[in-house]
Amino acid sequence: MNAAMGKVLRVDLGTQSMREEMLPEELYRRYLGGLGLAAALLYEAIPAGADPLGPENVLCFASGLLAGTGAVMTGRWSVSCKSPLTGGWGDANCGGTLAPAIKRCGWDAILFSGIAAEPLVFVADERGPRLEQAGELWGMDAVAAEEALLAAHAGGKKPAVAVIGPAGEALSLIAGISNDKGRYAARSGVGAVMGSKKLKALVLSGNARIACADPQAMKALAAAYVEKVKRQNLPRFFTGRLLPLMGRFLGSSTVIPVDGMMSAGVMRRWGTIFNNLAGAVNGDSPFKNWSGSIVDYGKRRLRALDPDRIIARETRKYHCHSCVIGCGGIVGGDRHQHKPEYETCCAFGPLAMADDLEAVYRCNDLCNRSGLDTISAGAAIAFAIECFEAGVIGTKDTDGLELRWGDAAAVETLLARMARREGFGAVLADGVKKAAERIGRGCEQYAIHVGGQEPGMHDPRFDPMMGVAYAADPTPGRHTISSAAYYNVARLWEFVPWAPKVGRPYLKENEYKATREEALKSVAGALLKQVLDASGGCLFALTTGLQNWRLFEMLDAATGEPRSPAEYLEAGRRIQSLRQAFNVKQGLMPRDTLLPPRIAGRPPLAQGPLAGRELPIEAMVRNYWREMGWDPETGVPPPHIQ
Amino acid sequence: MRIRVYPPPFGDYGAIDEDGYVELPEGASLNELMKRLKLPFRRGFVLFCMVNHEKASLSHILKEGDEVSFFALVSGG
Repeated sequence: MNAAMGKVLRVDLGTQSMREEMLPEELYRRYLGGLGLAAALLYEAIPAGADPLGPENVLCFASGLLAGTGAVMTGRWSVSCKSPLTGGWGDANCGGTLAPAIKRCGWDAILFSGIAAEPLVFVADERGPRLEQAGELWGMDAVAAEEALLAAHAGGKKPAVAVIGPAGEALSLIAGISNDKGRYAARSGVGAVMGSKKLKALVLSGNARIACADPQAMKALAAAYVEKVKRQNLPRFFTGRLLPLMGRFLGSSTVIPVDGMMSAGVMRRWGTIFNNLAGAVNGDSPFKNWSGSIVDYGKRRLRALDPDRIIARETRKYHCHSCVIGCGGIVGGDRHQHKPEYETCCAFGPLAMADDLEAVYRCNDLCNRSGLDTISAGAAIAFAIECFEAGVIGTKDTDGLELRWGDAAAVETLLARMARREGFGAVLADGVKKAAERIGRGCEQYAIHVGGQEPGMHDPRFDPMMGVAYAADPTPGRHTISSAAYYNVARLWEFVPWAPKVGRPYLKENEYKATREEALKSVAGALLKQVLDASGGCLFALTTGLQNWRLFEMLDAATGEPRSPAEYLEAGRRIQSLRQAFNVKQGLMPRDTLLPPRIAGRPPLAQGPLAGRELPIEAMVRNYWREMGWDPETGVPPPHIQ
Repeated sequence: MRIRVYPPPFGDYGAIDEDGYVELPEGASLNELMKRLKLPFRRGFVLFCMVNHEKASLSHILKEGDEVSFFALVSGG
């Protein structure tokens, strides 16, 4: 099929052998590529009961179907495996440079099994694929290791590198995989799996041609989108100080449809950090380990995280492959750094009741270099602070460290110890669930995780659809699956007849009801996300609206096999069902994955924008399973839709 | 003709159908659309309007399939 390379490379690190495998076209038709391909291959390849950190686990780097075809905003790659964090399906995805590089080496995916006897680096270039000794790279931080690899492979085409830091090598279950010196596939503990295989890095530079069935049509689609994005320049008076006002509007009692394309202007100026202020005032951002609100924190302190202060330090915007928005930013100075994203600012800011932007920068850099996922690391620290404040742990447990709300210096110190797995840092280095098991003493009530994974920095009491995704997605706790905010701007109902229409303003109150309509929105959003991840598309392109970023038409142009948007969504349903079936195969029952009572509003917050909010989450999840076509009582998908 | 509208806050949304469109007579201007949305005062909190993502004046004549959005003092993105 056009757009796909039609084959994958399987590497056994134990025997240091590798083989190419042609895949049947039907597989691509059913699962498209990227995450879909990974789901199809790993469901078969990973046996039930496999140790996530053992040789039977398979780590699959996959490129989206649209990567390298000339499609815009399609530079994301995924990495999938059995997650050591949740014990079920694990995946993470990232922008950067790796997605087209995998395909230009001639494969849609590279799968690693086994465990190497000593640390290795996988290299694929004009000499073909091979394994090399990692040598002194093992132990190096992720950014330094990438710089060393780029220097070692200089002279020809600049390679794309994916690499783990010391946290992944030390099997921290909240470790991710870095690309382009600090873009991260951070979630699900994928870095620990790479570390367990003693695989330090992938270095890819190939020249294979990526076929596009209708390049002219693709070019026209790209040009039309680029033109629209270019027009999205925010007026000069729209500074960070207006973002709280925007946040309040987005959280108002009447939800008014907004032009998704306008989000391109916001993302071009600030990137995700626009939500530092907007999310804080409307309730989207969690405070005080999800137990507080902006009222506890104080509005004046928010100025410390004003995104204008962050972009003032940017030396240049950062664009992933094929991106025309450029939401990322490189920070100047003597050390290469990507600017902190919203999730990082919140995890090391309001979640710990801290307001020290300098400390956020340092925590961001420490995570990017060591390989820790900033969401999970920040969540583990906020959990520890609450345990300390509640008297569950004391300085004897924390190696003398006083852990108090708002103490950014203590946050930073503890993070450094986590990165080194040192003392109390080692207790937290595998995430909140493991830390709670190690500490015991009734601290589980403060452990905010879903099925073992710490949720993203978006409160389901603000966006209940986000809560359904946290609880019901096969990789629980993920903030990029579906939400009302994403759904409303994507305008899927203009393409898929069964997707509920949200063209008119509606009462936000409706989002808190366990209705069929809300369930259908959750299902539609989740299926669309599967298509997005199978294509390698960017969520921030999706939020500019499908009427602008024409994903389905790009897929048609790339493959030359036109389908209706509803048919693409059915491919999404197969992917989502297969990921869920993977969990069942591994012994995880979906009904056991529960939202922590606190973030479901039990008890509800007494003050702040989310005061009194409670979700009927169990009924919402059952409705979601039913509309997905899965068993509404158990969440188990029937074989015919996998 | 049908115009896709992302309405500004504080209007009367009765003119918008469930798909997010407003039905207007051929040759209607942006000003007529604003009137149809019954903003609390002449321009509500709208700072400027965009037709197909380009700034447009209130006298701009709309055509079938146009997409109208508003940049308001209280707005989202």
